Amino acid sequence: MENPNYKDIFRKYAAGECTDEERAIVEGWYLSELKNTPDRPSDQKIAAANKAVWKKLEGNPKKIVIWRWSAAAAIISMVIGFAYFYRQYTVTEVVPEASIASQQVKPPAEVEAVKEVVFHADTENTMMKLPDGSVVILAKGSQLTLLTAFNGKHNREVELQGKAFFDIAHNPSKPFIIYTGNVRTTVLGTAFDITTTPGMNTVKVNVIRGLVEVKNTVSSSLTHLAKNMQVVFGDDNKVAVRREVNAEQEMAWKKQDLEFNDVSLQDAIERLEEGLGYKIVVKDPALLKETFTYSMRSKESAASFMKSFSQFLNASYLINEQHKTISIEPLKP
Amino acid sequence: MKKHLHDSDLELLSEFKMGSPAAFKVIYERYWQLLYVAACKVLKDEDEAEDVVQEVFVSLLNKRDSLELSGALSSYLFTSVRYKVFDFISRKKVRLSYEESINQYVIQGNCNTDQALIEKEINATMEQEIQNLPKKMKEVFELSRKSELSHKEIATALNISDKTVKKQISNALKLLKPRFTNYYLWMFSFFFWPFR
Repeated sequence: MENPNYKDIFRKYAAGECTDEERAIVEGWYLSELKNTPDRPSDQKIAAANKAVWKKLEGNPKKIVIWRWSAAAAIISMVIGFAYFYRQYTVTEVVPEASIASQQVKPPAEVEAVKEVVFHADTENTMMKLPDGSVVILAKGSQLTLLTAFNGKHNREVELQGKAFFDIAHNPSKPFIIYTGNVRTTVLGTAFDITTTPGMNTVKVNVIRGLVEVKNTVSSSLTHLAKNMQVVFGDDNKVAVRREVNAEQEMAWKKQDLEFNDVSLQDAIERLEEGLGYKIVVKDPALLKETFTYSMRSKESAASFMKSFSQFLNASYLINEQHKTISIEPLKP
Repeated sequence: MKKHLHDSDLELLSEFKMGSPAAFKVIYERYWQLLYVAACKVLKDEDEAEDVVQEVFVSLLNKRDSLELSGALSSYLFTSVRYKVFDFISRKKVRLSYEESINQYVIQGNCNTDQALIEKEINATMEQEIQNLPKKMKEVFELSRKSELSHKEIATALNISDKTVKKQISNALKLLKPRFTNYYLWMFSFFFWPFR
């Protein structure tokens, strides 16, 4: 007895138009075919087909793009957003990590008692340098905590509340790890920033170059991010949204008022160039090494800034409008 | 290629998403037989099965950037094959034999209506094909399964693959322009990943 419904059932299934009952029938049939078909391709056929298809895959233009992406230059600007629970460091699972020397990594909750070195950015964005050479711009109102033995034997770990830009000094033997609530971001050699917003369930990470591996420690969901992409984890610790964003726009906050907190001129040069819009040339090595704490206002003109900054540094400067450069030299005694 | 041979599915997936062609090849080699044999059994045609499995891997490639698996790689691949098989059947001009087959299946009764259960059973049945794999491949499969059983081992495995990637990035970063170049210049500087 033929039931006319089944004529269309495959098309419906492929189009997602089946009822649940129809789905069960189709899939049940699939299972029964798998179980009850004694014939199978010969080993030779399996091997031959394997080769044939692989050949076609290699010729696939999309695949060539992968080769190119992995082999080519890639400047990565990524944005990741994910949910977290502000001020609730409910890391319920201890995820042991084996570093090169097989040491255990403690989640933030356990190292509460021995935290050291806390950076606050009270009134404005603050740039600072970490012991390992990494540079951080901490956004106004944010806090960065370096966990025990930062730059110690095996890891560089920090805890972030608020928003910060990181430019991580490369060190493959000591992974740089940032904890924000339930999310652990492992840095694979890169520069990026992270934003957490109190009261909202989002954490955003913006990467300038390199790669970031992001893991939600509750759901064990693991993500790696590519250029200009944003991922948002929902309250359930699973991925809610994944989309493209303009990472450069997201980073605009760095261009607001910036305070340099005990940084050397050498480290500050990039930010100064970015903020002032001029290329900065400093040849004197002693001057480059000088550290300072000073503020740069966002809309300040180069001329106005250099006038006071140079006095602060006890240096002389020359602005070349044609070449858009500023050269700074120590004041002749 | 040998370097990824013993990676767990999770590690492979992670490497694959980061653009590793080697990881993709290992995934292909690891799952080819399971997927192909299953497609053969349902479609009853070896050439068509070949096309279907090819499509599955092409899709995987195309989705590399957006892939977010909540379950196992194996389940994802098994399900992909299933959908492709049905899609394939639905496009065939002559579907009569399949329709008759389904009719028979329904008439015989014994139809399970629990979809979740059916899917589980499908995956289990496909996994049975592991027994027919060449010895070495079978071992690799079983090892990679073991390494997924323990959460601890997953974390360890991730760190291992972390390091593999880090090593390659470290090679690449050595070629980066010095840091005190103009910021925007720097942003557009290039580095090379010697993945191959």
